[in-house]
Amino acid sequence: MADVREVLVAPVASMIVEVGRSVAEASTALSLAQVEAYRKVPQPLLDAGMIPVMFHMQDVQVELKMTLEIETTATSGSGRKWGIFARPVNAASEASSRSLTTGASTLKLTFAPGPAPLAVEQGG
Amino acid sequence: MPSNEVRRLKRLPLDRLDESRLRAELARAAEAFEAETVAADTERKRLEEVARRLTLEIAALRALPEPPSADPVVAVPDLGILAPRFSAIETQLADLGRLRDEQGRIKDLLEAIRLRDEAPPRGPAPVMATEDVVRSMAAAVAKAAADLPGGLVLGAVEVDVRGPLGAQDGRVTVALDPARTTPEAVSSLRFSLLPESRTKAVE
Repeated sequence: MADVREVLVAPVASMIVEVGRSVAEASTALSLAQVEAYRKVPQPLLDAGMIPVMFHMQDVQVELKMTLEIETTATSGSGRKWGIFARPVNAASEASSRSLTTGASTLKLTFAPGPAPLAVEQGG
Repeated sequence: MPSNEVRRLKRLPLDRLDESRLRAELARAAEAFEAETVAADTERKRLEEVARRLTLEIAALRALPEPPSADPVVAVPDLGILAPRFSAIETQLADLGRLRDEQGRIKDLLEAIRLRDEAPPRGPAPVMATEDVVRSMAAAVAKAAADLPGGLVLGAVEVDVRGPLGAQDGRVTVALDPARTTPEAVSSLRFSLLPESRTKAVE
């Protein structure tokens, strides 16, 4: 059995953080593109109250299918760190092609329409 | 017809066939694919030639001077008459694509057999006490929540750790070994990311 002196947590945590970073970047790009599009709406339409909605990422559901593995890393002394490493399921680690279906990860994004930010509506 | 071969392959329990039978099925599928591809290609080229000639004839007929009203009217054909035959070719090509997918499925199975046969003998699986797994996952979630980029917060996190259980030194253990992972033992990490400020949805 693994003699756990110190458990490494970075690998699993970094999977969450990396997905979060991608989502944040995508969300920013979405907002910038919509602000740009908003500024191209003819002023008479805006004056008539035809305010375009803007879509926002409201909810992101992620399910990562992975295989877990115990790995050790030598520390500066004579000790070793034990950690649980997660690897996404892929064809190379599969015992059969049936796993390719059961091992599929999912990423669900919910885009909800909302009003344009006040600063944008006021021409900011 | 490729569709017949696809139907036959889909009915076969491919993942339960042995290697020699799989190789035989792969050879048969490859042979059918080759023959049907050549036939479809030949038919398509023939139809394209017919269409080319028909186009020329239509142009020539349209260029004829108006016949005297007493003459019988010559019906000008339409290229549309070839549409069903082109459509049949498209269907045949789509079936060929499905046949190629089935070939890919057989190749995957053969590759899995090869990997299994070439795998080195296995020693005992590395195990970890379940409380250490739980502690590790909790620490990972806490670290992820702290490290997320601005504007996002971590919602509910669900970790589904799957592996054979055992007992060692009075503690419950779980074996974590990717080399032994079966489809039923794939773990998962499910979490949601929410914006720090939510926008109210409008109708």
